[in-house]
Amino acid sequence: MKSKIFEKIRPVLSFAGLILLIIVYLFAVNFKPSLFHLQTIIDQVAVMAVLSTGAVFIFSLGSFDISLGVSAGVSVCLGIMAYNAGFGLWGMFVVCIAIGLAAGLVNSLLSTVFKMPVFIMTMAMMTVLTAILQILLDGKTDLKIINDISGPARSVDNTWIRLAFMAVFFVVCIVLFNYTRIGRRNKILGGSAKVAAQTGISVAKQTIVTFLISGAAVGISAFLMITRSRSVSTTTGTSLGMDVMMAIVFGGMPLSGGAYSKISSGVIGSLSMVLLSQILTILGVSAGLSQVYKSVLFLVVVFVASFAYREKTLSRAEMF
Amino acid sequence: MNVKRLLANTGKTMIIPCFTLSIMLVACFAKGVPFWAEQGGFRAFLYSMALTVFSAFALGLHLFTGRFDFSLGSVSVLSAVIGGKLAIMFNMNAFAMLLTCLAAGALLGAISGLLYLLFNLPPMITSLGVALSYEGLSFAFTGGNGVQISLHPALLSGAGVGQMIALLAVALVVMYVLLNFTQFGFNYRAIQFGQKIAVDTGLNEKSNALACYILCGALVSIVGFLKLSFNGSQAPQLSLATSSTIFGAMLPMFIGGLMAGFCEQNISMVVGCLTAAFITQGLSAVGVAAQSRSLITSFLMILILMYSTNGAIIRSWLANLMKRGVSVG
Amino acid sequence: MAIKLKRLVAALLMAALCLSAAGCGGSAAASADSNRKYVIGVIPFSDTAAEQIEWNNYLQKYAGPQMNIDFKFVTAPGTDAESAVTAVEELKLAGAEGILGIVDAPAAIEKANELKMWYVRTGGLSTIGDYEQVKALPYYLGTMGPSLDDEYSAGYSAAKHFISSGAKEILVYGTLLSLYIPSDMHVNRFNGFRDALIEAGVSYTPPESNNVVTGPGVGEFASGTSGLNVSAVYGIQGFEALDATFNDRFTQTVSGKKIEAVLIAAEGSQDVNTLLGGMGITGAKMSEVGAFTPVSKASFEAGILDYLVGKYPSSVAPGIVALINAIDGHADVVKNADGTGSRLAGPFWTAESLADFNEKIALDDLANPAFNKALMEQYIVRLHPEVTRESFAEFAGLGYEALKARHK
Repeated sequence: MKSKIFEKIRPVLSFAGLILLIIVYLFAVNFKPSLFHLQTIIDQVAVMAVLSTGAVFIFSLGSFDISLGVSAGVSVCLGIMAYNAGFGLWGMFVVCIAIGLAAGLVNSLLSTVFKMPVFIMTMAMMTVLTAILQILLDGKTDLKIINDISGPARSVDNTWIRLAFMAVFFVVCIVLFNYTRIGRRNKILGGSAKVAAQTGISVAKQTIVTFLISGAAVGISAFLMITRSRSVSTTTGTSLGMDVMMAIVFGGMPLSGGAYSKISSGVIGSLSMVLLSQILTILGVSAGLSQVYKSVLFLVVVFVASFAYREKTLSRAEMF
Repeated sequence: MNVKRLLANTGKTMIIPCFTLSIMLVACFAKGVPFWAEQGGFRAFLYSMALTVFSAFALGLHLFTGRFDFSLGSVSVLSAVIGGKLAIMFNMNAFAMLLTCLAAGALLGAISGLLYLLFNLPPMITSLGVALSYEGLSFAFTGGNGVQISLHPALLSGAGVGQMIALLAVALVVMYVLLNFTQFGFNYRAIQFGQKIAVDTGLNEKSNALACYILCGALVSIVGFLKLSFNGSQAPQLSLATSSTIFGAMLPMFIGGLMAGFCEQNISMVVGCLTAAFITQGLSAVGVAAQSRSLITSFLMILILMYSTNGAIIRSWLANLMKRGVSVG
Repeated sequence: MAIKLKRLVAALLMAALCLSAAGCGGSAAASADSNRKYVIGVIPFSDTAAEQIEWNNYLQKYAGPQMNIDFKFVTAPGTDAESAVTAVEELKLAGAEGILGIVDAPAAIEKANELKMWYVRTGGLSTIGDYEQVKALPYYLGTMGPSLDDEYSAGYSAAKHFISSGAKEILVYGTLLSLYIPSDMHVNRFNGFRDALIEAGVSYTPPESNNVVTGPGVGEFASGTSGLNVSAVYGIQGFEALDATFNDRFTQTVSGKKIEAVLIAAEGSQDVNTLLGGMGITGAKMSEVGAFTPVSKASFEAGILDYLVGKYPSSVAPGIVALINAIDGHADVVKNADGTGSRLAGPFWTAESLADFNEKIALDDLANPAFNKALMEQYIVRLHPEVTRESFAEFAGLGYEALKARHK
């Protein structure tokens, strides 16, 4: 009963958290926010918001792909290589998307055809992709876009473009998740694989579609990353995978996936994390302490979420 | 116990490591390079292997009961920082530092476990927050400096060959006894193979999980202790950089999984670590670059995972192939 | 769901409106009074390096309160350009008017320029390619610290130090630039080691690739006519993924040798000493091209470190004064005459013994550092309009002896 009430107020809760952060943020900037503040938030949130909105699809199945961040890193690298090889802006975009989709496809095939447990498998994929990124960079620390000053790559370093990508992707995902069979089936599958089987949902097909959607998110976010830094390094995307997981939790996603999954949790969570990070820098908190504050807040959010998640047995996942 | 069967199982367990070692030795011989350096080479090898053994024990304890703990690496760093700082402060010797690290690790593990019990959420999520907190704390405690014991010779002896062998032997015996001859081990297995039934029959899952967390904390604190003793310092790491400790233990654990049918779980784990260490050492000795090595080992990991989830199918497919091969021939 | 969504969109719009309606009240006009508070952002190269921690101490405990500056720090962005860009944006939000950057990140410098924040790269001169990319940006003041020639001389003099003291078995450590620090700074230090050794008769064959990961990356030293036995191993410690490979390379390189002297291209003598000690090799003397820190002091005291060429806590001060001048509207004294960002060399300090170390670091006490308030104020144009481009360059280039003379 308690958890049912909680499920009703949960969407409001993560949203209330975001509002609270906005208020603290306004305090931090002395109630003198400007267009620049808004612009910076959009610039910083775009990559994570797109990636975590894509990841919500996987999360709603009750699993998580930890290799998403590094997939984006590899995608950034090959995108830049394509651009430097003369394929132009569109070529770069297409390569980014293609690599994202390919990574998603490989993961989904490993998971469906070979029945490998998703989380562990993606962890192995993460090390594969990290090694591939390092090999692509051929031992150099980074790779930059050439003809940087005048090239077209600079023309897309624009807040409006980021906002547009984010908005369009978000709207598409809302439709897919809430108004098509894809989302409904994911929720049923995440709730119970048995029920899903009885209703005739093909787990394999659904998994592949899900990973392709998140693969598209990987591609788009890789493109958005390039627009910001026009370079890739051995560490590009390494922490993004975990950030995405945190963002989704911050955004109020039920931790078991299933029926109450919310597509907005990616965006709300990413916004919360960006605001939090900005607030801590504005207040002048040191590197170590700011991580402590972030993690404590994260644990508080998790603690609140735990009210809705009471089972007789301890929580575990079949991983091995 | 049937002696013949024991011998057969021992043989089967040792096939993979022996095979791996021979390939690597042949490769080194062909290239005219030593497998490891005459002076200090074995110690460096043993050190790398010991790190994976303790990490894999801890990772496995959690993983086999369906938990994934991101905080293991951060517990190892923070317990080394606490142990090292206290050892310097109170003029301890290496053994006392080890005990301090163990105590710190057990305590940190207990906190992590209590949070898991309190929240009862997927441990992957809870441990993410715990890992970030511990990393931040090891940074904040030391002002970013971490801990240096380089100039305290009395503390450095923990990573000697004899000491590491002793640590490994003691840990293997302790784990073997704990998992096979105690109530804890019995309950652990019951939960491992049938969580719901175990709980329904009145088994206290929570205390068992907490014990696991404490044990894992102690195990990874030895990783921290060894790193501190071997390198002389431990710098704090931020942004989940500590989680690489866990990833390093994945391949050994999977290899160990291949032998799990022929020997006890802990022994298979150690043999897995030995095999993985042979691979790493051999590839490095013949001059394979670090990132190519990591590509090779992670592909291997995927192959093993593939085999362990599809073993039966692959075996029957191979058998069919052989049959056909025979009939065609 | 539709209702939830509407609520979400409405609230987002509201938040956006709140943010934008308040308008552009953010930037306060610069006032000319002498009590003006400056806000300066700091982008560190590491969160944990002893050198950076000493700089941070100087900034927070001395320069901040004395010069009326509020320093804002971000977490070290590492090699990831996007993190560096984010750091610049966050510092802008924190109100910073200028940035003291200890990283080469052209994308971050461009972002700072776009946001009209002054940027000075301190702690050493930028890698040439990175400098060329940003030097024409109006808000880029330049780069300050030991010049690339200084870096070369540091390596050269360290190697000379051991050769002339009669060391025969020498280890070059942390050489051709590690994957993670591909800067001209470190390359020049190695070149200094190399040339001093070649002068002594050692022959050197460069590696096929400078890449420490895909190849040995170090090259081969042979005794030649020198009577010296030189070995080399890469190693910037602390990169876990490379540990097993590194340990193997290290033991293979050093095995069977009685190392007497170690030339280190950065900090880390205690770490190398521990690694050698673990192999039963003791008593090696070492040199660092690093910094005057409590860690290097301890290494001297323990008899490990024998020769140090390094930066010191207040060596970032010229960068601070450059930023103050620029914020005050006097960027011209910092930049080149043609308006490009300058490259202003400021020398290392050298310590050849513990006594020498103690004598030098005494000049840079936190209570009265080498670059103290009185000295810095002499080069603030607002207070001393007579400051010129030439005199500022001279200030940025003050060495130990000159600083000592100024203190008297």
